Amino acid sequence: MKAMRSLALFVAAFVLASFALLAIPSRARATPNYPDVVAGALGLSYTPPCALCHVGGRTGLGTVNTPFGKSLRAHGGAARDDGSIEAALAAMEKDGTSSLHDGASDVAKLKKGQDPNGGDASALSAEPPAYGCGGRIAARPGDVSGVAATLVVVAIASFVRVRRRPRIVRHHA
Amino acid sequence: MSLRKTLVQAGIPVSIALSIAICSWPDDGHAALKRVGDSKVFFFATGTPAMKFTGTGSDVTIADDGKNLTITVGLTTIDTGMELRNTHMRDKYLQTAKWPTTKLTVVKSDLKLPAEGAKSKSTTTGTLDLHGVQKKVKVGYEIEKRDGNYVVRGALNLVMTDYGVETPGYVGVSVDPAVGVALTFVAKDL
Amino acid sequence: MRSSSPVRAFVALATFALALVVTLAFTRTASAYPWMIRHGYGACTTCHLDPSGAGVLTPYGRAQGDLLLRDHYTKNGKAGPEEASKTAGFLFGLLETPDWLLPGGSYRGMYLYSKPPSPAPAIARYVQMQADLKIGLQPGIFRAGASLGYAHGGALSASITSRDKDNLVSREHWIGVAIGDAVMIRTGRLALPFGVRTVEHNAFVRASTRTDLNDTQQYGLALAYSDTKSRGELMAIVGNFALHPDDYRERGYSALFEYFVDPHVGIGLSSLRTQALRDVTTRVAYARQAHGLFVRASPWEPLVLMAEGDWLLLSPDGAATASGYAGLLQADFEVRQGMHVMVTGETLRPAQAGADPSFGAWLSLTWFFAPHFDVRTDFIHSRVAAGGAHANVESVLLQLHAFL
Repeated sequence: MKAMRSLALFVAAFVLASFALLAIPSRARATPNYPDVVAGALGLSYTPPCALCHVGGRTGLGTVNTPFGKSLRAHGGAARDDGSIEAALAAMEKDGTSSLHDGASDVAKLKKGQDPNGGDASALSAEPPAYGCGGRIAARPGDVSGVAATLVVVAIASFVRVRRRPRIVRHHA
Repeated sequence: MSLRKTLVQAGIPVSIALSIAICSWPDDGHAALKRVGDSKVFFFATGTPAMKFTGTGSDVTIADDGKNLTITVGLTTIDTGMELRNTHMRDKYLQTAKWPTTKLTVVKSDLKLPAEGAKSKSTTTGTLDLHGVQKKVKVGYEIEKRDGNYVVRGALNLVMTDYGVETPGYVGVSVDPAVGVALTFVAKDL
Repeated sequence: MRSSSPVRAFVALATFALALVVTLAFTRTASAYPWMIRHGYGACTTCHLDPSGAGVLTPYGRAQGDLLLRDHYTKNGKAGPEEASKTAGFLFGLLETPDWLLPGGSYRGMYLYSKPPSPAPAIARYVQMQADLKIGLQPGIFRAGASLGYAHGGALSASITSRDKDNLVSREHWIGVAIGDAVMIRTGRLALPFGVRTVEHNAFVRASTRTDLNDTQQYGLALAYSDTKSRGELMAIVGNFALHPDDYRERGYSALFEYFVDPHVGIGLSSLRTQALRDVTTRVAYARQAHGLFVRASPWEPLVLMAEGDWLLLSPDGAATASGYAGLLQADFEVRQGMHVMVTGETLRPAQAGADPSFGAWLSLTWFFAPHFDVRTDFIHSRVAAGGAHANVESVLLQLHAFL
């Protein structure tokens, strides 16, 4: 009897949850791709990273707090509104906004491949990540070629902390 | 849980732990022992690959003829937590229709009795009758005397195949023939 | 299930291929039930080909899934003394496969409703989380496992095609050898050995350490050990080859070790360190670390308590190392066999200077209502740190999971 009551309660919970969900109208939502919007609006040859506007590159509510991101918001850029971002960028270009107050406008810096937040320029214009097959392991200077060797080197390197911070190796021509 | 801890602390390998608790009584043998309260019997088994399970029961009786103490455990009511496994254990391996119990017999005078409020811990040798086969086994035990009652815990190891029990297996997983059973109960002198 | 006839093996493979085509017409996570420790199954190898759990089931795993997982509609939901149902087999037992061939598949769909704080609009949509076919091979000492599925959106890190959407995904593909019953060496794309391998891929502990079963698997070489007292796996990571250019790939290691104090109590340690020349979001070089403890315990068969605490470290190039933490506490109560009520609390403070902690509370109901099927509802309250303030987000998830 007790088991049947548990069963009934459980089924009732599912049914209620299902009805609650079905009563809610579905709303399709395209995932906004703001870096592409910025690149398109300013005619950039590269797609800037999320970190241009989002602190630490982590997107989400309340994270548009880099100096450039704050300027963009101050000029009317709003979430889920590509038009407002394009308009804000145009306004920033027009008034020569310099988020770091260093005399050089943010938009001009972006067009030159520089980070208006004062960060590493190579990071800003680096080839964006891509997914799917076609990638290969690039040989790095000093590496012994071959996956097997890499496995061993990486495993050992992981345990040996040579430097406090990771090394940046520029190996692309 | 407490028994599990006791076995672990005693360093009894789970894979081969068969423990049976033995109670103690005065050396002069004038008092017979009688179980009081609940008792519990456990067995521990392991399998390949990386499997282990336990069986539990409570059908334990004690017989004291003045010289030997015989502890009888009913095998038909041991539960492994899965009805199908119980069926396999009873019908196919232990064959409880033919041998429904297992018995451990120990010589009373070999056991150490603690005084009130004290504990004794030792090992002794007994005879285990399982699946129609009798064999000598080494039994570890711990007895605590509390309020006139003996709280008994014990452990011993056995290998099922030594007793003619077939090594259990099921769709690619086999059970190690070395298993263990543990038993705990409270007893009193009459 | 026990036939080894070549004809039947061929039929099995052909049917698998056909099922693949059918499933691709539909598609992010795999199944792993760490609360099976309630039955003494702390180690994973008894039921799964993957020594750290999840993925294709062994014949024994299929039988236990039928006997111990689903509701049998008896008084307490438990199975009777009968053998496992034939429907436990691949394709509901319609196709017998030899023991060395382990086919499988999984479909998981979810209806999501999420209400962020106003004025952000509510989200209500259907999400196809997983539509994967899987195969495992275990002839002799040889071991191999692979999955292939379709993802309408997401799971990009597991993509083998290069579209923004509608990709073929392979979350795992590996080959290896078993050395005895306890050791396995594998290489290929593998789920990272770290923490409690839960099915909730978006739990803070899984997402923040990037060790979920969705798409954060990496390529590498792993050594796994498993016996009745402990299990562990150490993996050397060479990167995710589905992500390029190579600068974004992480190198490092991930490892876990779990010791079983008792058949029903496991205590574990996890450790991970990786580094890459570019972060996918910030595009700067970084090294990240996660080190933690986890516990699984079933003091009473219907109840399993699971806890994980991880210390997170992030060292971006040009900035100081920042630390954070992620924690999970989950109680799984099996009301009757097949019906689970789970209460989960979680917290996360990202490894980022000045970050505030976020919190989540879940009430989940899962019912394994038929062979190969379960439904699940989650009610989630999240208090998300955002820009120095906190935002409350309420979500309801309704999931259907079917596996072949």
